[in-house]
Amino acid sequence: MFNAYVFQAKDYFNRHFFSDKDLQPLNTSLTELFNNVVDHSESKVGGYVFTQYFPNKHQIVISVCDFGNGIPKTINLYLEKMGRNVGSHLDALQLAFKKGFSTESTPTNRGLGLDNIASIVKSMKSDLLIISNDVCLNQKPDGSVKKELMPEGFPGTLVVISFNTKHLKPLEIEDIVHAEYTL
Amino acid sequence: MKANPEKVVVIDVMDCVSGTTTPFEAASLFKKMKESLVDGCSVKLSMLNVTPMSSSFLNASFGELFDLFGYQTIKDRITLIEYKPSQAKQIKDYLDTISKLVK
Repeated sequence: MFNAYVFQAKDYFNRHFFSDKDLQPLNTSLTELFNNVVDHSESKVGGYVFTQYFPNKHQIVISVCDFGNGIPKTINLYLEKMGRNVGSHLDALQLAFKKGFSTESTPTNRGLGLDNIASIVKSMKSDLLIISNDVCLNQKPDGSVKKELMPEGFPGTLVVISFNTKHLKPLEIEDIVHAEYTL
Repeated sequence: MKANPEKVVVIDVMDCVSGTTTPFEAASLFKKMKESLVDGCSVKLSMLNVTPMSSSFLNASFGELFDLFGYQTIKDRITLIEYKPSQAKQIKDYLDTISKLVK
């Protein structure tokens, strides 16, 4: 199901606005966010997605939301289960971005997804906003990160990525290489 | 685990999987690669028409192979064919990354 959305979104933006641009960052971010909803959120209603282009702002905004446990709660529950020190919700959300940290909610998770997203957004000098439980984290286009507690909690996780379309790379057609490649 | 140099299996990734985004889609690719390695074969992995792979897909395919056989076996016995440079880089970078992480 979400394969279809990811490909349709990319196809729509390619055909109507960015025929000569590489939209892979959009694809990758959507895929990683959808996988997070499925793997981690325990959301009883799945997730919701919204994608829109704002030409005057040079932005493609994608929003993915779930009504699951929330990242800080999930992480602190995991830490408690593992007998590790449980920190604040702010610390927990920061930990979620640490490459290699995973709550192991599925056997194959390795804690790379959020770091991937943050790296992509940073490389495109774009904006990443995450609201989860009572924490808000904002990675700004210059790469700086601001975290704060919110007076009202959010029952789940909301991620909003505002891609700066001025930083989309030109689409390159790669040739197929036939020589063997050793990993 | 030594390979029989005469036994080479070609696996066409897009023949095994319906997509490259979820860990469930990766399961059949992992199974084929694992069986080939257990049988002592070397594997040539055709990347023709493979769509960009999510971290979850890589975790459930190459990541699981890494845990079972180690990075050196993957380097010795799995090669890519019919690939784009960006695909090769993605898999290589992924394996380099997880080799530096402690699970």
